Amino acid sequence: MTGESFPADAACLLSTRSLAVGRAGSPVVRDIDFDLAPGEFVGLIGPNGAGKSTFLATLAGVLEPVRGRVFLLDRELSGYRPRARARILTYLPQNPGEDDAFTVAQLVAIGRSPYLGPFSFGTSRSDVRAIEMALERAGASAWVDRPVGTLSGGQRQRVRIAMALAQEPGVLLADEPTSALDLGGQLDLMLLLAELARQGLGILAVLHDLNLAAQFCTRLVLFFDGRVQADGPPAAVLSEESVAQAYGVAVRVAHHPLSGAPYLLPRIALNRPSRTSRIHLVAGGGSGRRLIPKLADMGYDLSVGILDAMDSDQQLAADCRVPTLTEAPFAPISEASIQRLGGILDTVDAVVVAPCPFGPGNLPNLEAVVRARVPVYLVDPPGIAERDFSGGRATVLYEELLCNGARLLSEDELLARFQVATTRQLREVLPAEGTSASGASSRSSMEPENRTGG
Amino acid sequence: MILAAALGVRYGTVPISNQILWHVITGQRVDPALRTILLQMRLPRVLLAIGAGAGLAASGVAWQGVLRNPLADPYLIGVSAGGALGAGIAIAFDLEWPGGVSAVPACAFAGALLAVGVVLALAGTRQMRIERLILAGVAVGAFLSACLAVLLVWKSNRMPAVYFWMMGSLAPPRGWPDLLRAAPYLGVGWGVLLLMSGPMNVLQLGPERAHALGIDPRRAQLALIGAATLLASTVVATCGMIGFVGLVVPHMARMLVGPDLRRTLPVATLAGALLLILADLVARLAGEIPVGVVTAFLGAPFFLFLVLRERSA
Repeated sequence: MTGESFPADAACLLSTRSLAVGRAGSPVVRDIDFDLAPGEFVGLIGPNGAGKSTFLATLAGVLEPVRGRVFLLDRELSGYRPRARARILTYLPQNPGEDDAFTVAQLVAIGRSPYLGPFSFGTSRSDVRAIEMALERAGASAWVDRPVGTLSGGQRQRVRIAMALAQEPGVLLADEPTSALDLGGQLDLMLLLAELARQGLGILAVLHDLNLAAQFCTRLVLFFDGRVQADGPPAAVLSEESVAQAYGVAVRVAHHPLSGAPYLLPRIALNRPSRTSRIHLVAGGGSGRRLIPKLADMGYDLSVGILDAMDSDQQLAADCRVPTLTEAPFAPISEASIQRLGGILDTVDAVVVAPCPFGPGNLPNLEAVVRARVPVYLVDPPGIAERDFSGGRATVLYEELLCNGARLLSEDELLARFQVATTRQLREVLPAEGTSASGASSRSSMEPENRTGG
Repeated sequence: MILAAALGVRYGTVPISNQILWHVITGQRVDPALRTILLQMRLPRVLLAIGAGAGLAASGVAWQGVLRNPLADPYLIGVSAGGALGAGIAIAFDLEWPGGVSAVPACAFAGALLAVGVVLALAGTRQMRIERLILAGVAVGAFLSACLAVLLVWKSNRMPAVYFWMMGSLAPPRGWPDLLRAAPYLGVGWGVLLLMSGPMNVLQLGPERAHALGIDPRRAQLALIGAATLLASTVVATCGMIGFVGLVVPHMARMLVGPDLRRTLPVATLAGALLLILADLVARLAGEIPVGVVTAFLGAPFFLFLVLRERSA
């Protein structure tokens, strides 16, 4: 479809050799050897000022190369007449100019300009067909009679793509096509571009949303420090090192849970206030997904455990730079780990028990907490009855903790209290040094041992 | 249009009846005095109104398209200031060609072209920046106006003549020679605009998108500015400064036929010619007041009406 005005079997649409680009003769990016093949959707990424737009404008012929050469279908770009070039390559600049007053039909018809003589309005049969097809492919047919100014941002971008398609090009260069769009508009436009690439168009787009780029692009090119730093499939280009180097941002490269594409999670290093209170968190199975980062951000000297080494809370704690006690995956908690946990519990100002499920595998955590004489905060709901998989033993332990003065709080209440509490206030939960409390404490520290023993 | 032209020919200090007009057209014998008034005074005056109105309106369309600024008019980047200074010099010093022909038109023409040339040189034609062009135009205009002011202070006895010229008029002594002198320039300028109306339309979207559509924006801008300047300078040299037509008629045409400049250009051309014939008729019947005053009187309320109607629609 797109191949009518040039050989459809072209292996390479656009390529550069030792290209240096810049404005006013001074190079911003050097040594660019770039190729664009039909069907590719290449995302051009890099920090602000890296020269992405300059590169794009040079490929479009708006700017002259500072050095090196640009080839369009194996012929040098500068050798084309503007109209001939516009039948093969089109360019959507960041600033689309004033097109509000035109109707969609008028604007898309302007896309036929490279084929029209001086007094032609684009009304020949082939023009009309090309315009209809462009509207169709861009999904803009429904708005033909509406002025562009009355459309939403995403619809306008679709119309501009339709105008570009009316040129029947093989190459589409787009400078930040999604930057002004809302979430739905962004996804919509990226889907459209990916579909157009699938139909054989070669697309190069400057993109700022790396996750969006990783999701839809077949290839990414990273510009940084005046060079092409990486060029390849998204999974190869987006590494923790490359992102840290180019953007100065620490990220974890995860995978999009629904698509498997690389997905960047910035590690947000807040200016943590420093608190002297030490807190231990018993969590696991994702029950710490809010508590771990929030308590760490509040500046508490936090530790988490004992966790399975593959637990998602373990990964999260590592990302938050929070020390953990871990046990090998699916192994029972060892005596040595219980010893270490006891040592930690002796030094903390308070223990928080996240609403995690308890079963035989992690029950020793709860037993250790009961043994230690520390202020305990139990996060609830969900209630222990719903997450007790230890045959009722965890429920008993909870009751004992409550008898000993442990406080039962919802997650929000707990976070609100810890946001403002002093060490002293945290410790107030500790039962008064009376006989009943110590009696309860000693009894509780014996009972579970009896049970485990029995 | 034809009706307006007929009205323009008939009315004046001496009214001429339809019958006599018909007789002149068909070559029958009429009173020689009336015939002279008709052919030597009224007809060239109406044709001049057509030429000037069409020229200013077309020029305005081009300026608004190229500068992408709704306030752009043919006088924005130096045509008026340069033309006024040129004419001012010629009037103040009574410059004449050998043979007693006034040098005012030639001086105004030269002044206008020179001023635009300076503005273009200052703004730089290699990488044309619209903002720079407008700013340079305003600065050069202010400077030339200051020069004119100094000149008028020195030659204060000439101030009324210069001032009257600046308000613009189609009245005699302008006649066939002026019309014939202006016609080729008007024709060339308008022809270039018509030929370039496609690129002009695309340039509204900005130079980068024009480029993407296979148009060399720099060359197109230069050609359009050149043609628009030629039109405006020719009109200024022949009729002085007739305001409002170049600013408002393009907007009116836009409201009538939409933003496609390939349609706006011919519509604005016709509307400009029509407006100026009628304005000149009114000016003549009101005792030869400057036609520029009339265009503003007639045009401003009509324009406001269009703006308000558009807003309520």
